[in-house]
Amino acid sequence: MIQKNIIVLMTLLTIILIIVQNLGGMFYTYFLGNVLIFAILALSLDLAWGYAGILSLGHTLFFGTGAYAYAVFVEGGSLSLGIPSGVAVIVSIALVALLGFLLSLLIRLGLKSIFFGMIILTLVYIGERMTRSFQNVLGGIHGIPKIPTLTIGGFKFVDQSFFYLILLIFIVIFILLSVFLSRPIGIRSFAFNDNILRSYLLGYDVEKYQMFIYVISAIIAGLAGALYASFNGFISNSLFDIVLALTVVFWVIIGGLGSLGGVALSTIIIESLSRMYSSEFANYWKLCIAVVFVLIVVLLPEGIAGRFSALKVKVFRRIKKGNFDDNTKN
Amino acid sequence: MDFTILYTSILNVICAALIVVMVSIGLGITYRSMNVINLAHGDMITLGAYIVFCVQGFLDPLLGAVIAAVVLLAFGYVTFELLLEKIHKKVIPSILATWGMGTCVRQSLIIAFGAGYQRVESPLLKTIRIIGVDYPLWRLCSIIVSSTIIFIVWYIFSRTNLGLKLRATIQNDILAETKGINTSTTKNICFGIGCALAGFSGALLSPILGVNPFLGLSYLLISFFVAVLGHSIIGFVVWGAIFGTIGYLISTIINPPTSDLTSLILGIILLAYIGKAVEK
Repeated sequence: MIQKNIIVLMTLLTIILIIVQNLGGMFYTYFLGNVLIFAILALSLDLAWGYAGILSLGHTLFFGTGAYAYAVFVEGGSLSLGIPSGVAVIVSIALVALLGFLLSLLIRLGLKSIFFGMIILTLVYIGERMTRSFQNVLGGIHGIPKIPTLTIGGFKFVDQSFFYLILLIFIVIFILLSVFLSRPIGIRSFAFNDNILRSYLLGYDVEKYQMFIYVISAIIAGLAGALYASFNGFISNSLFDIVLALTVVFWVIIGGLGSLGGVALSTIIIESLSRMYSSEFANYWKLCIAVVFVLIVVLLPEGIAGRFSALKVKVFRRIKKGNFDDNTKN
Repeated sequence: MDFTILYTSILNVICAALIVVMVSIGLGITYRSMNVINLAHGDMITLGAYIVFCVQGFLDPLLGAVIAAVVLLAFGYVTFELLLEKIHKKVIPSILATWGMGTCVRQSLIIAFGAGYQRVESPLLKTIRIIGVDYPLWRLCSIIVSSTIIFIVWYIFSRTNLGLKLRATIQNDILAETKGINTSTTKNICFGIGCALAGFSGALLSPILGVNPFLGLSYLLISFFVAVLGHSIIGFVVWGAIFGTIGYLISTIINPPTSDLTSLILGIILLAYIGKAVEK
C-alpha cells in the first residue's frame, strides 16, 4: 500500500531523531519537537494545496487558531474555564474544523485560486491584529505564558514523553495520509488536478471533495497548533506572522508540491537549519528566506508544477491504470 | 445646530476614500493589464511612506511624495523587467513571486528602521478655515493632490497615445504586438505606474498615520477587491470610494481589525454574487 522507500525513509528518520534527542539532552528535545510540529503543519498544507489544489497561502491561520484556542480554553489557561487539557485539544480542533469548513464554503462560491489565497492571507493578518485588540484574553504582543501541558488520564506529558508523543502523532499522520492518498478516494485528487473539466463530466462533485480535503487539512494544522501551545507552554502573535505563512509555503515548494515525504524532509532540514542559525539574526534570516523564495519561484517556475506532474506519472504507472496524457495545463 | 463635526468627518471620509481609490487604481491597472495580483502592492505603499520619512528633515513632504512616486516607478519598472517578465502569465508563480518580493521589502524596512511606529513631521500642520470648520492643511492638500492624480491617470489612459497602447495591451497583448506596439515595455510601464500610485498614496498617508512596516497591508486587501470588482478607471473610483468610506467609518467608530474583517466579508459577498457574473 505504501511505497517501500517511504517506510525505509520514515524508519531512518525516526531512528536519527531518537538518537539525536537522547544524545542532545533537553535543548534538542524542544528543538526537534518543534521541528516535528512544523512538519505536521507542512504536511497539512501539502494535502490542501498539492492534492486538493486549494491555494491556501495562509495555512498558519489554522495553526495559530488551534494554538490560541488551546491556550484560552485549557484548565489554568487565560479564560480559566476548567476544561481538562485532553478535552481542550479536542475543543480547539473542533473550532479549527469549523473555521476550515466556513472557509471551504468559499470554494463552493467559486472563489478559488488567487481569491482564496488572498482571503486566507488577510485572515492571518486580521488574526494578528485581533490578538492585539483582545489584550487581556489573547495576551497582545506579549503572548500567553505558562500554558499547562497536555495531561491524559493522569499522565502528564512533559519534555521527553511529550517529544515521543509528537513523534508518534507525526508518524501516524504521515502513514494515514499516505494510505488515504493511495486509495481510490485519494487518487481522485490527481484526476481533479489533471483535468477538472473531465472530472466534472465524469460526474464527480469536485468542490465537495475539495471541501472535504480542506477540512481534514485544517484539522491537522489545528492539531499541530494545539500541540505547539502545550509543548512550548508559551505562544505569541508571531504565530500569525505573515513571514511564517510564507515559510510554510516555502517548505512545501522546496519539498515538492504533492510529495508527502519530500515536504516532511524539507521542513525538518530547513527548520533545523533555521533554528540553529537564526536566533541572533531572526530578521535577517526571514529576509534570506524571502529572497530565496523569490529566486526559486522566478528561476524555476516549472519546478513547482513540474515536480507535481512528474510525481503523478510515477503514481499512475505504479497503479497501472493504463495510458493517460500528461498535458497538464497551468 | 453644530455642523462642525459633520463637516470635518465628511472631509476625512473624502480624504480616506481618495487615497483608497488611488491605491486601488494602482493595483487595478496591474491586475487588468497582465492578470497579476501584485501582493507586494501593500509594501509599495509602505515603501513610499518610508521615503517621505527619510527625506523629512530637508525636504517638504509633498516634494517627498513626488520623489517616492518617481522612485517607485523605477522600482516597479525594474522589478517587473528582472523578476516578473517571464512568469507573469502563470497565475500561481506570479502571486508567489510578488508575495516574496513584498516580504523582502518589508523585512528590509524592519531591519533598517525597526518594527515600531515612527512619526513624520508635517510642515503643513497649520489648519485652514474651509466651509466653516478648521481643517488640517495637509489633509486638504492630500484631497486636492490625490484627486488631481486620479484625474491625470484617467486622462493618460483614455485620452493619450500612451493610454491607447496600454489599453490595447490590456485587451489583447498578442494582437497589440502584431500592430507594432512594444507590449513588453508597455507592461513594464503599467507595473511601474501601479507601484508609483501606491508609493504616492503611502507618501500622502505618512504624515497622517505615521509610518510602520505594516502600514500598507490593510490597504492591499481593500484594493484587491476593488481591482477585481472594477473594470475601468471609473469602476475603480466608484468601488474604491465605497470600500474606502465603509472602511474608514468602521475603523474610526469601532476599531481597525473590525474594519478589515467587514471589508473582507463585504468583498467576499460582492465577489461571489456580483463578481462572478463578470469574471471568466
